[in-house]
Amino acid sequence: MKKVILLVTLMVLALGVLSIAGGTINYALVSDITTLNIWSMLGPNATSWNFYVGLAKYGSLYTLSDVTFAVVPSLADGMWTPLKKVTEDGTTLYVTTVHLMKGVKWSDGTPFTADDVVFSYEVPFKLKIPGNWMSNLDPTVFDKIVKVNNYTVKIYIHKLSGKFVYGVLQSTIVQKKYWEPIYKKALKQPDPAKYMMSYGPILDEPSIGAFTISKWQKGAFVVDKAVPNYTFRGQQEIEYANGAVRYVTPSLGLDQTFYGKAEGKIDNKFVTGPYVDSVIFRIYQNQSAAIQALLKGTVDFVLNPNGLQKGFVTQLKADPNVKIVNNPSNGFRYMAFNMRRYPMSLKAFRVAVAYLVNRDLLCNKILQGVAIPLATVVPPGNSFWYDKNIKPYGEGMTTAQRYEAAIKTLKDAGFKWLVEPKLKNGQLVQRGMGLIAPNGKLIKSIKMMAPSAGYDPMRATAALWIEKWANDIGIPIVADLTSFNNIVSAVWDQKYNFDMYMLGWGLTIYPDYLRDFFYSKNGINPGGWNAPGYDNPKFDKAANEFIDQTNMNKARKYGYKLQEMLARDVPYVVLFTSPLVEAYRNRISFEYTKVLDGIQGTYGEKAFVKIVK
Amino acid sequence: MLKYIGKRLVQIFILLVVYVAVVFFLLHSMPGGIKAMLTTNPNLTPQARDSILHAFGLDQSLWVQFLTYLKNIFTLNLGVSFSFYPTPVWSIIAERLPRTIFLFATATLISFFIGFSSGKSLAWKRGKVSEYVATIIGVITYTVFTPLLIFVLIWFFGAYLGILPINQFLNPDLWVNTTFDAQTVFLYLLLTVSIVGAAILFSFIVAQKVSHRVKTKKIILYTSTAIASALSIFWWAISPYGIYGADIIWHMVLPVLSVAIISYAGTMLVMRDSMLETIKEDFITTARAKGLPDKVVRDKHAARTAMLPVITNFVLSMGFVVSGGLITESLFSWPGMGMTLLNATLAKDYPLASGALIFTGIFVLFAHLVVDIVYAFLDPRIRY
Repeated sequence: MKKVILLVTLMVLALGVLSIAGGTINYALVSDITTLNIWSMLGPNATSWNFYVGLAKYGSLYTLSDVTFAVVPSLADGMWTPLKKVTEDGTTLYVTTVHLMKGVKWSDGTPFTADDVVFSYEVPFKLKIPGNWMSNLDPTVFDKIVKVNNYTVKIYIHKLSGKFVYGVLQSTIVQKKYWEPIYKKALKQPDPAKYMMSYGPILDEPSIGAFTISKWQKGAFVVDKAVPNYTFRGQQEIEYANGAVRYVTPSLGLDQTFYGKAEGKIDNKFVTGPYVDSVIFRIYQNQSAAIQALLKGTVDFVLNPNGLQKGFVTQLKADPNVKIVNNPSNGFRYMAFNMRRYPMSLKAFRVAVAYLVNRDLLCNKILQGVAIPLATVVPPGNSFWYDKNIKPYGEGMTTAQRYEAAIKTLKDAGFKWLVEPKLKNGQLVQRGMGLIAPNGKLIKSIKMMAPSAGYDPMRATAALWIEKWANDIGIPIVADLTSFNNIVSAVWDQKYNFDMYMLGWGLTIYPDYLRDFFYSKNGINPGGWNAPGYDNPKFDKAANEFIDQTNMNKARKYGYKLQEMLARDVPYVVLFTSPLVEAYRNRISFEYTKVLDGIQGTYGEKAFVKIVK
Repeated sequence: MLKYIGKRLVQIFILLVVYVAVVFFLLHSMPGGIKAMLTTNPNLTPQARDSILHAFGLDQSLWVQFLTYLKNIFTLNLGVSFSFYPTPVWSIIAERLPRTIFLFATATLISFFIGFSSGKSLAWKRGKVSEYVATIIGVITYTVFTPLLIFVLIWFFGAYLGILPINQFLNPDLWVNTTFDAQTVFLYLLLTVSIVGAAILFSFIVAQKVSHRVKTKKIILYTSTAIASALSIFWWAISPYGIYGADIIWHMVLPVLSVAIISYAGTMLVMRDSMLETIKEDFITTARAKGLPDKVVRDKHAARTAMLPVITNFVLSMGFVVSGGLITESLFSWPGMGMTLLNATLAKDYPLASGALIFTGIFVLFAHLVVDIVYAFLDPRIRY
């Protein structure tokens, strides 16, 4: 009875909210889109601009929760069943059963069924459509999908892997009814994949999301129209401090909770819309034009994967009708040691350098807030995977304390100096000179390659300060500010020809990069991702366990273990991440603005955005 | 003449082959490359990366890629764009070209006529205040930093006065319910301009044949121009595209004004200098001695001779019209060939970048040929 009352209340609330909804909002894109064809969009045309406009109309079995990024069901009814080992024609496979939500409809009224799922998995897999399709349905993982009944499918995979969860289970679903005739025609072509990717323009393709694309005026604008019969309209997403995520879906009569019990403090609570009739994406050819449009009120929000440039932020802050939000981007700038070379192979040496890097001073004072300090390989914003217990070397220390800690670490490991650095009353009174390694040899020079100021002033500045701090205690690091291509060439093309380098990575939510970047075998052949040459059998073992997990709670435990080992052994010294600054007019409001990678990372929160003025 | 044209065509062909080779190898020698871009994308598995490289034909050796490309060029196949895969390069050029031609051809024509007329008049009134003022203004606009001028115009007309649109080539609010695309309207606009232009040219030729009296010629020319213009305006007024064509033209005012201000001075200064040289010639003194009216001496005798270098500039500028203008296109959000070339180069989209460059190259080479032919018509002393 309680559930019925709750559902009725929620429905009334949802209807109430929706009754005041409507209107059109305008988003600015700073580049043109290149396709609306999903095969191409997730293939060679995988650009942020295409995703902003087109991706939300498709579904997937599982997705990531808002803000916390936990894997949760989307079109699936509950979590997948534990994988079971089976043998088919002498081949060992693992199989899981996924139940689908009943009552979900496409925008043309067609019910969503297992046929759509099977079709959406089989077509890209059989046609070997490149790009994200192949990454999601990786042939080394995915084997086949079988329809059990209209609302149940079985998925077979070759091996247990996290890619099953973040790839296979999150692969995009299209409508079979719409695409099947096109697919049949494609099969008669010499290159069916190319035919599928070039089919279009597609404006009549039904949507299973909150919006569908109704118009694309090339070079000028795209219109996303709200789907009136969107199944998940009014769905409540409640995120608890204990990690539990609860979904209440009045239209389907569902109330499901994942990752624990729905109890205790609530961190986030969102109600799905759409609350507007349409979103017009106006296409501008440069950020300046988009900012002018924002100031003029022509657009309400500027979508850009890199956020706003600093000069524009200052200009926008002066407008009382514009709100500025600042979020860390999902990536990091880092410094790597070549652990194949001496003394970078010594943990004490790396730890000493790690102690010296004063991120707070660097980011907040020297770089004046244009960078956000970051000390961990998994950024805190990726809250599902981030290990809160990681304590980076030197955290909370002053520069003098850092010097002391670094000197002590080096001394303890057997390093000596010709002239030993000295500190008195928190001041460096004598700079160190002539660092002698534990093997008795004088360390002459350690070259640290970093991008020049023309390419990235933040990293160039960081490199010069790290050089200074290191030189202060006698570590002869020499910052070599050079072109990005020179660094990439030295690190990857010339078989790890470097002492230290400074670069950056853009990251994914699923941190499989923990293994990719540091797995010992990835550092043997030229071009491997493990550029530092980190070789730790315990890490390798844990990394394999992590990557093989299909249970995300267990995977998280291994993920934490990996993060701890990396924080301790420091093959990388993570330095900072760049803030992603965004601006929107106060005519609209978003359900949340504090999120890793900013509002743009959610493709503009189309299902949540409201007109408030 | 025909022999000369044939010889020039062979030269153009050889130049084109060299040009294609230079463009191809120059683009492929750029640092980075699409392979590096894909390698640093953590979303792609190695297999997925290789499959993209295979689809793009980048898994073959550079020489094989070049020979294939050369063969394709001369069978009018510019290949498939990487960044719009699998859209053919021709389709992308066909989409962008009308926007570029309409904007830059209009601006070039306007700047040519203003520059030609003012240069002619200034030289004729040499030594007067108006000449000095116009020359100084011309030098300033000719040498001004283009983005600065555009920003000033945008601020003044778009932001301060608020009378002209400053971004995009149309107003999405107006176009949101249309069933046709802007490309169709651009093509109709170009067709209209071409028809009106052809009508004017035809009436000019007819006027030359019908009468030797300047007044009669003018009446024929102006009347036919007025009729052709009125008919085209009428067609646009009754057509469903009318308001949309007007919207595009309205959005074009500021970009055209910017381009015209920047480029008219070049024509004006060249024409002025050329006129100053020409009016010192003996045949001008003779014409004056014959008692011909000043205007006739200026327009028919001096200007016709003086316009040769201006015509060269004009025809070559028309050849370059297809390449668009990066700064104008970018600052006014008018996506045309200039932005296409820039974005393709940044994205290492070799087929699209080389396609855009080769397409421009063909037009410029063709423009050179046109200049040679036009010279023979304008100056009876030139014979090939």
